[in-house]
Amino acid sequence: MWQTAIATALRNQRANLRAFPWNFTLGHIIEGAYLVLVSYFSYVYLIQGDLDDRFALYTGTNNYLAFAIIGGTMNIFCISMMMNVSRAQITEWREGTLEALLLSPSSRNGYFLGTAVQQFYRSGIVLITVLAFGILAGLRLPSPHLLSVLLGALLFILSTYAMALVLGSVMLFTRDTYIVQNTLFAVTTLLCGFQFPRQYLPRSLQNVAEIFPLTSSLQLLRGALLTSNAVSFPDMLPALLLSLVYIVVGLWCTNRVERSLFEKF
Amino acid sequence: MRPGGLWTTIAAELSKQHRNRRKGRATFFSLLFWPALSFLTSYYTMKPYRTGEGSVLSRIIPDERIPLFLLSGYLVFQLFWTVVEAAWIFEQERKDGTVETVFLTPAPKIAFLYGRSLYSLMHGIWMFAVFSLLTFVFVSDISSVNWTALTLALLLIMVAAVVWGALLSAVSLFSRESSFLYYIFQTPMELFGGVRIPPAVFPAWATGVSTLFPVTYSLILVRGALYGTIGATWWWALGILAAGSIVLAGCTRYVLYRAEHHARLKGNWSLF
Repeated sequence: MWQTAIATALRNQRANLRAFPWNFTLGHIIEGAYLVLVSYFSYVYLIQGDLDDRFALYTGTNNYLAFAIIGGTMNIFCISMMMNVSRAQITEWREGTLEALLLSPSSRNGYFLGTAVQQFYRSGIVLITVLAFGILAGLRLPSPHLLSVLLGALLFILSTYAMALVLGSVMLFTRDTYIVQNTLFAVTTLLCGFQFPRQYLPRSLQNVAEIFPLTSSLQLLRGALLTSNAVSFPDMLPALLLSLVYIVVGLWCTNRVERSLFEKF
Repeated sequence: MRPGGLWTTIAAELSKQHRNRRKGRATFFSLLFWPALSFLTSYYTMKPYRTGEGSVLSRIIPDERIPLFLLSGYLVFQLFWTVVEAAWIFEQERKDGTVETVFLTPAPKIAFLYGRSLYSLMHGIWMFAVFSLLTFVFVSDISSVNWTALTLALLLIMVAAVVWGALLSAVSLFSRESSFLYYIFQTPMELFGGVRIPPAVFPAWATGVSTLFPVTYSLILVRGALYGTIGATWWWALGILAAGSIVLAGCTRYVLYRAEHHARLKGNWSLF
């Protein structure tokens, strides 16, 4: 498994550098920078810091700018990461290399892990650039609990990876990337609380958001960054379990779809 | 070019686009579902802002007008976005090699560009109907709407959108890579055009950027007509949008001329 992971990461890295345009990465950076700018404009020029009382109640902080910028940055990071990982197999299918991959005895887990690790650098560049914009726009953090931030970040990455596996199998099944991915991103942007505390949503929509591991892991990560409270293991449990379920379902679905893939045509 | 060739070409392009694009779920999602979700997201993003008596927000947008403000914003934004999409999918035409075929025929090429843009607008017309209907649900005071001004404004905006789309399509004649249009126009148009934040509160540099987008003027026109506040600014916006469209139409002709010239020189349309 590890060998496959390392080989896949290296191969993707080379292919990315040589053949793929920088459009996606550049596009995500631009989009992230604008998200930061929208938060900044709204807070500084539109409302001049005049916040609703419930905001502090829901988030435990008054730092709207940090809340919104972290949310925007995380949204761009998870979109970038999910998009790149979930498209791995359908890209192979379009390029004609999927057949070779399926014939080889290599581990599928290793393949996905390698893809994720390589895409992590790529999305990491996006993350760092957008964060730099955020700091320019006035992103200031109090003294966060470092271990909690690290745990929160790992959990967030795990949730993103788990959702990308399921998304990838749906893409492979429908042979479509455009509609599937954009619909999912439009839904998660609304429901998971990236841009506003999700307690403002109607109760039913809040419940729907619980099916995504992103929702609670984002809340944990942002909480760890904004307050100096420590994250405890029971807090992490729901997102951890959901992510495991998503990974199992994603791998199982991918397996099913792969079997029927070449008989259809 | 025989007389009437212009209209024949526009009609032909409309029918071609119709056959290409009417099918598929992409239409429904990209024109109605995604904008509806992003409208909801912006609506809830405004929730943490304090509203009501004496709040800063209510001095800029009165409380009961927030949904109307956002909906009118998204309505106009979508109008312009559909034509940006026409240019965005221009790369398909290049990849399939059909653009060479079109240029070999004696059809007026300018009609080809306007036909594409016009079709994109018509393609989204049912979605505008839905958004307009919603807009009127949120108009608290129907009597304040200036109907003559609104009709005039909407007609002018549609013309401006078609001209804008044709210009972007003409620009796409130079490059096979048109996804940059998405990145340049999607979010900046939304932010600087005043879809979510009224440009009146922007600092000077951002106001400067916002004057570059026709969306800005269109929104002044539509919101002015909806609230029944038609003053000097409204007439200025009307004048600038009309004059700007004529200038952009001229630019389209020039860009097309350059593109044709380039093609004649190089012998083909593929630049790489």
